[in-house]
Amino acid sequence: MIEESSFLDFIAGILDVPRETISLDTAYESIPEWDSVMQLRLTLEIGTEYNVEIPVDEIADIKTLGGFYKYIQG
Amino acid sequence: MKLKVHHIGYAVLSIEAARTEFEALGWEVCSDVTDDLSRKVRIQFMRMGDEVVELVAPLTEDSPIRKNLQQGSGMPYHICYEVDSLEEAETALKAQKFIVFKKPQAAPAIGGRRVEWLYARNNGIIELVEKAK
Repeated sequence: MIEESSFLDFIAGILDVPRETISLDTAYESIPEWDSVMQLRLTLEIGTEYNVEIPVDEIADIKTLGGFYKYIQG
Repeated sequence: MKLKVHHIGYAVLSIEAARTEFEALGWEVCSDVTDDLSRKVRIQFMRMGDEVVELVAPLTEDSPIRKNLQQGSGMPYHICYEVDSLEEAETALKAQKFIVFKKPQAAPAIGGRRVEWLYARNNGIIELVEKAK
C-alpha cells in the first residue's frame, strides 16, 4: 500500500509547492498550480510512477488529490 | 505511423475579433463558423498558403476553452495532426508516454471526421484527426 505521505511528497514535487500546503482534500483549481493542463500532467505522472492507467472518461471527474490517490490503492 | 500537421488551434476571445486580427496578418477565411455543442465552442478555420489555423472561441459561459483565456489573451494551445487511423496512432503514441484524455468523437467543424485528444509532458495538448474515408 502506498502511504498517503509518500504520495503527497510526490505530488508536491510535481506541483512545485511546499509539501505542507497540500493534503488529500486539496481541490482542483483551489491552488493556482493545479489548472486544467496540470490535471493532465498529474494523470500522466501518477500513471507512470505507480503503473496505473486512469480511465480516460474519469480524468475530468477527479476533483481532489484524494481522487487521484484512490487509483493507486490497488 | 505517418503524421501531417493539419492545423494549429488558437484559443480566442471571439471569432469575429480574432478573424479581423488574423486577416490583418494575411490569413484568409476558409470555412464557415461552426458551433460545436459538445465542446461548447465556436470554430472557424483560416488559411495562409498551406498553413491552417483553427480559431476556437467560447460558446457558453462554462466553455472549457475559457481556461485557455484566463489572462485575457488569445493564444495557440494545440497542434492537430492528421493520421490514417486514430487507433494505430493512439497505440504508437501511448507507447511514447502520451495519454488520451478525450476519446475519439466526430468533429462537426471538420466535416464530422473523428478526432481524439492526447497529452504529453513536452508536447502539451495535441489533437489527432483521422483522414476522411
